[in-house]
Amino acid sequence: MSINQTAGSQPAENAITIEVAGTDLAFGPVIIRDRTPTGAQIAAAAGLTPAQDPYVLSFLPDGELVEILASETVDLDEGRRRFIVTSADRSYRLTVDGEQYDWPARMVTGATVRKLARVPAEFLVYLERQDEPDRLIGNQDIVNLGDKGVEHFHARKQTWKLMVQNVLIEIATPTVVVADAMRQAGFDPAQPWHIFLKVQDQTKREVAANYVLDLRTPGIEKLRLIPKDVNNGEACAPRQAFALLPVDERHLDTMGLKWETVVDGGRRWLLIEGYPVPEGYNAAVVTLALEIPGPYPGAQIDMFYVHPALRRLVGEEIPATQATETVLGRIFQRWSRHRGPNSPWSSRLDNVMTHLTLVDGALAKEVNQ
Amino acid sequence: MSAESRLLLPVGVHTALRAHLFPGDGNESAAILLCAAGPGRRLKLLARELIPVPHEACSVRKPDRITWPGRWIEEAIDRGEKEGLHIVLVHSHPGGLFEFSAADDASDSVVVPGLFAAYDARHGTAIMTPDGRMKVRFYDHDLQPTVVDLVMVPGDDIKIWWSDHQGGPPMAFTSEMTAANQHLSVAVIGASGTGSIIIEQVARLGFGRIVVIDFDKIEGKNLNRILNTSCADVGRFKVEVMANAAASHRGNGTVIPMPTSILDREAVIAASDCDFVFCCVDTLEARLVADLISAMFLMPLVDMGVVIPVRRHGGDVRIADVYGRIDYVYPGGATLEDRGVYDPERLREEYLRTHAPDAHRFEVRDGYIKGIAEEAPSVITLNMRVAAMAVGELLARLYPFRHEANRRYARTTFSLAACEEEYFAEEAFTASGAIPLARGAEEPLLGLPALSARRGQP
Repeated sequence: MSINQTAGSQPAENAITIEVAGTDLAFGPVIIRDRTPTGAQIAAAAGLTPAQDPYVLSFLPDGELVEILASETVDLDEGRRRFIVTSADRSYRLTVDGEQYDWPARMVTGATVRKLARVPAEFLVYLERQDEPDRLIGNQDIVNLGDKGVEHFHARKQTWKLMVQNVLIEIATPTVVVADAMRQAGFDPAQPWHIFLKVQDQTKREVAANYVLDLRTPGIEKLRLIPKDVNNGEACAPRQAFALLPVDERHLDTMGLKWETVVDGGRRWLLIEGYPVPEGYNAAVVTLALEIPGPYPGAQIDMFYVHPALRRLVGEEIPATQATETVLGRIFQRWSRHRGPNSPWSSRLDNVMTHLTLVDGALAKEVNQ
Repeated sequence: MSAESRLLLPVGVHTALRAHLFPGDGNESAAILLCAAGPGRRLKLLARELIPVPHEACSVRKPDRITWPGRWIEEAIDRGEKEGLHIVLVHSHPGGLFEFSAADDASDSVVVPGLFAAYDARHGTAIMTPDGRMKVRFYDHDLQPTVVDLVMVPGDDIKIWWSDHQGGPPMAFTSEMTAANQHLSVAVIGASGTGSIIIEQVARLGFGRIVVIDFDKIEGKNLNRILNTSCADVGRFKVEVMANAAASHRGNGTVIPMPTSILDREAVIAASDCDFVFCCVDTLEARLVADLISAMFLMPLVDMGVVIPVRRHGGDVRIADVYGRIDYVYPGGATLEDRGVYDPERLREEYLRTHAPDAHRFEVRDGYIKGIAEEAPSVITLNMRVAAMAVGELLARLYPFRHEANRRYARTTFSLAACEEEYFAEEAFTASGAIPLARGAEEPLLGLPALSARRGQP
């Protein structure tokens, strides 16, 4: 591959533009008329005489920084166009995430390390230290490379953790608006919530949705949410009008579907949104409803209910699904499916989980799966 | 004689413990009980698990001395710590000393700190004499011992051993019996037709505390069969009327009214602090809860039911029978569910009938629910008979007076129409063991999510 010809930008036919910077890493164009210049030629082009002890570093195409001796040649056709030229009698060695760099000055700033290793803005630079926590190096912080040994830097993506009503979220910025944190945790900030900020060793206090949390404050613990009025509007967060067995709740949580328990006209329903049904029906997912009697699991769960109503894409009407039940205004199709006389409900063994196997079996049966 | 703390042992655990502690060689033996605690305010330890320390593992076994290896305590700690069970170390006194000896004190001072070092709970020690009596003491964090007031083994007979009283139970129907009852407490579920009569009896019999649970209010139509009610009481909670009535002859605080459903956490916790349960209800749901209370809190249960089925004869309706049933249930025996009093299917049906009468009617029509006979309203004569027999059943277990073993009377039924009584022995039923014993305060309470602290709440 030939050199990168940006037509018209070259002042003469054999003149080549390279980029040269000092230890400030502020690169500027420099013209050179040799495709394979020596280190001395590059230093001269940058305006340094041999008496000034020029020191030339070249960026390799992969970003590595290598020293070019005065007599050593560089092939510009290999894409090596960026150089650091400074006056120095020695270089100092550092690494960033294991990658080695030589730096011609005793002092280096955090910004320089960042530029050298092209650390993205959302990453932080840490200086590795022995027997104590690594030190966070800000852009303005100066690190002395003159101490014995090689300085090792690490770039780490910064995240802050926050508990929002038992949901752990990670945030890439050190500050976050309460409403954004709630959205990220799956709560609708438009709903009327009492929002409490609990910081370790401090009394909790109520904050507004537009409050800006500074996650750098030591000991930020969590946001707790309490609905201001449970009857006011349809809450985004799942409703838990009554408890299920711990084993049920664990299982439902691991299904990754939104589920809630609601009471409608004295009847107790478990609703599972987005419940997948086998192929062959008019829908891929339904809202599944199970009626949970008060003395459950002493009382059994029977039948199941789906919304929208399911019908087969091929074949006749599904038997015993003609009745409907209304839950919170939504019409559910009742599937009259029951345990056989040989497998009666056992309050010790049966639960929502085992009833879901009956549901899955019944749904599969009607489309011969 | 204080009546506040208890250790309860299922009869199976007590029998096994006694057999292990008294192998017949006259030497001391040792065992460990792992106990759950009840959810109430009273200290109530419920023996759940027995770990016998093998006789051959003990380096010293003498009639008045035993040395047993600590690794069995480690075993108990491993098994008990996970569920926060309280450890009680038991050994026998073959000589019959119903006291902790100086050697016992010395031993406790070495061993008990180790238990507390393992994990925090109400750890303690106990002795058993050859007649099966036990004395128990538990320790606080300062290693100060407190003797448990009462050890109870609820079986066909209800064995009660007070820490400061060595004699047997007083004679039934005497003032001594009434005095002894003062230290015992009763939970009554339901304060209506049969419940009000049960409450009247147990209050007059001197029981120290009577927790009454019923959410219902008095209606005019109830006045024909609820004791102690008057026209002025219409609209008041039944339990409050009962409490006032008892206060008039027993003083305040004897009856503790709980105007809520039995499917209420506080009601169940209040019941758990009692010693016995009477179930005087007309719902299967309440019978389920009573069954669970009995097994999980180790409380003897007396359940009763009445029914007057009718039949059509030509154009007339005639009484088919006037029928009553009394069941005595002890923890570990055949439960009400084992006896077919309720089942999961009928519990759902009852739920639907109560909360969704339309859906219930449709399901009956569609044949998903078998139609059940409408129960005729009960009458006070029938209620009084069944309630008197129910309280008599408890007294017979506490202060045995029957000619034959109580085990023969697990269920009694009678027909006023046929003038017959029938008795069913415990063997007539099969104890499934389906309800775990001595579950105590484990969540959800009674294994019913409806009784758990609600999800999302602290």
